[in-house]
Amino acid sequence: MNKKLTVFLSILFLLVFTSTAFAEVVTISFWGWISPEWVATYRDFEKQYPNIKIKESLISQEWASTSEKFLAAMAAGNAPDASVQNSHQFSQWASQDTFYDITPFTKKDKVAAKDWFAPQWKGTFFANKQFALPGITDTRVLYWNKNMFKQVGLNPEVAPKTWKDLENFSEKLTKKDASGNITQFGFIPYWGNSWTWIYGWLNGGRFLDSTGKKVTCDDPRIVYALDWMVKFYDKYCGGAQVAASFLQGFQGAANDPFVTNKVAMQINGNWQLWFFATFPQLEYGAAPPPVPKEGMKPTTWSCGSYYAISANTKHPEEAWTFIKWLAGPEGAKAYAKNVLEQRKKDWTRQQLSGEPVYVPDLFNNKQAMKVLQDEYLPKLPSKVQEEYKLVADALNWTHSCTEMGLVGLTYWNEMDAATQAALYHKMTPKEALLQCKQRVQKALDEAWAQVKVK
Amino acid sequence: MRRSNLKRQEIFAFYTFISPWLIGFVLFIGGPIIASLYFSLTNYTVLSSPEFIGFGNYSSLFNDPLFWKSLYNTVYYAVLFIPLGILVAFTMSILLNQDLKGLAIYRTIYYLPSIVPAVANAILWIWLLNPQWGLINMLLKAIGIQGPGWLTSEQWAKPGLVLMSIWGVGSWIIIYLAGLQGVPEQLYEAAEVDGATKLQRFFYITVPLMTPTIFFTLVTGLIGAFQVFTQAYIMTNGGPVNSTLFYALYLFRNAFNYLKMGYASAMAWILFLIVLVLTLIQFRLARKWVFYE
Repeated sequence: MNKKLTVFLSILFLLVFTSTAFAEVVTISFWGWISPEWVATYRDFEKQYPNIKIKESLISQEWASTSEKFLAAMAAGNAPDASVQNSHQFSQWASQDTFYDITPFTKKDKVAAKDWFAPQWKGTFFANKQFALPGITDTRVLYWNKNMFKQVGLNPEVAPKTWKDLENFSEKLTKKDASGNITQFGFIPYWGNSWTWIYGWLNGGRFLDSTGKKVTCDDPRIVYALDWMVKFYDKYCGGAQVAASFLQGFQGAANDPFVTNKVAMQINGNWQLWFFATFPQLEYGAAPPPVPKEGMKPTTWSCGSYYAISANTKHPEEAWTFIKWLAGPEGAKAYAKNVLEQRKKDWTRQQLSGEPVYVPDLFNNKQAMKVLQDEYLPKLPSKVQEEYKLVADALNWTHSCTEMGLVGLTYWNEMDAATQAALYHKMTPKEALLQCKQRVQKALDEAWAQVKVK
Repeated sequence: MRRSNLKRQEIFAFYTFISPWLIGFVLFIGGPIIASLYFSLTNYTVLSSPEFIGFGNYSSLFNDPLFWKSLYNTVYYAVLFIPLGILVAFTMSILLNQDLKGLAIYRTIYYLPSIVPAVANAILWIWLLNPQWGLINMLLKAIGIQGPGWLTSEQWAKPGLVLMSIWGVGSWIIIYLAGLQGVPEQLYEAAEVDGATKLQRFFYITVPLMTPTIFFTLVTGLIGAFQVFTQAYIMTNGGPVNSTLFYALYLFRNAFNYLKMGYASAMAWILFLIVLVLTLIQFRLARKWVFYE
């Protein structure tokens, strides 16, 4: 009896053992980042899922130019199983049947909208099909330099809340030398990481109609916003040319004009928190981007990365397991741990003083955010904690850059060209935006005619 | 019978030996060129199969203001850069052809910029052209001139890029040097005996005998100038106000950013035709001024 049981158990053990040991190991090719903290994160995933191997390669050194390489690979039919995509261009790619429809997976695994911040979550859909999970994103807020405020007698604890405040504060903060050249600026609207999009959205403007088929950048609210920018430049910055050539002078992180007390206010991304942390003498505050008129709701915008599976993959299940892990709390936790380890190495190598910190990245998954905040937020200086709360809260009231529509990149370039044309007085804001509208509309019509996903 | 056999063998050997190049050419150059001609007649996003639309791309190109703007910018650049480049390179080569101590060092120094990688070069020039602390505006300031904003100015961005290109004419200097060394010494001696001054010798011997070399750089320079891309891509991204949106940059954006490969192919073919016509015109004009021994 006992013997029989032993034999039975050993056979069972053998069966179980061999089936796991010889279970087919599937290799997923993944185009993403290959910096040490990311590579360590992929290895962490493999430890947890021994039957999936990740073969990572760099999608592109330049984040903005991920598309060339991917386009060539798609055309040649050897796209990677999964990849990081720039949310900017995502809609147009998705419309071309490039990505695997993950809707069945999300249904099966109960990956649902309520667990994700809405703006970027919505951006992963095209024609009611979901083609990606949103990964890390960003938000833009207003930063002000408290030292500079003190110097000119402004209350350093009061942030500008409206566009009028920006004007009044700049009036005080702008300084000129004997020959009338501006040596210190209050605020430069198109500098930092603002772009005309934020002013349009702040003023309640809409860049596309609800169908996504009609360009509406000549919306009077957007025209008003651009007009305000032009007037601001002329009145407080000596015109676009003067401001641009002033800023051209500050290249390289160490002489950033905000840190070196040359520009007192800026709209910029949450990544600045990391950057500012390296300047202990800098006293600054963060606030929601100022609104056109008192009582209006602030808003901002976000871009970032999406994890997508290629339509022609042979291993959609495994690829799904991977991207779900990467975008979710487990991936976030592993990534944060690896970033901190990497930073510790840097600290030792560069013999820096103090302990390195991790300012949590902005994940689109709510659970991931909670996990990171619980673990890392208490270790940050209380000032940074407060600012972090603002940039994280902004995820609830931000716009996604996928709202730039099906031809996002064309729209982006044309808006930039229109803004420059207006700032440099080549055209009135209205003319510039009308021209932008015509050009983008043409591209948009063409793109809709070529949509392959039904 | 025997002879033709030998000949056949020779032909076979010829094609065998040349086949690596031939195959490479057909697969990677000739094939894509022909394919692009076809694509230029289609609506092609690369992600879906091309759809034939005849000359649709060409007609919409002529109605595209950015097409004209980019063509204008490119012609502007070429017209400014080529004559200045030739003048500078030619002058430098004459100076570097003198009998001086340490000549090899000077030649190396002046050639160095042309082996700097394009991207490093671009980053370096972003600094040199910096309005406040750039070396160029500092020098201008020293002689009492308030330098322009260069890359931030609509008027000065193109001249700024031309200046940068001129810095890299080292390869032309080498070509001119080779040309200068090829001018027969006895011509100078004969002229000297006839009492020609240095200036006369330069204009009546050196310059005419250098015309084939100048012509060569003119033709290759023009072809190169019409393809100007890297500087604008890295340094200005076409700005400010599209003042450095060169033809090749706009073509690139259409092809890879906007998923309009058909349109981009049409642009490439128009560029080819423009360069072809300009080169043919130059060859025709060359009969009037290029002097072959």
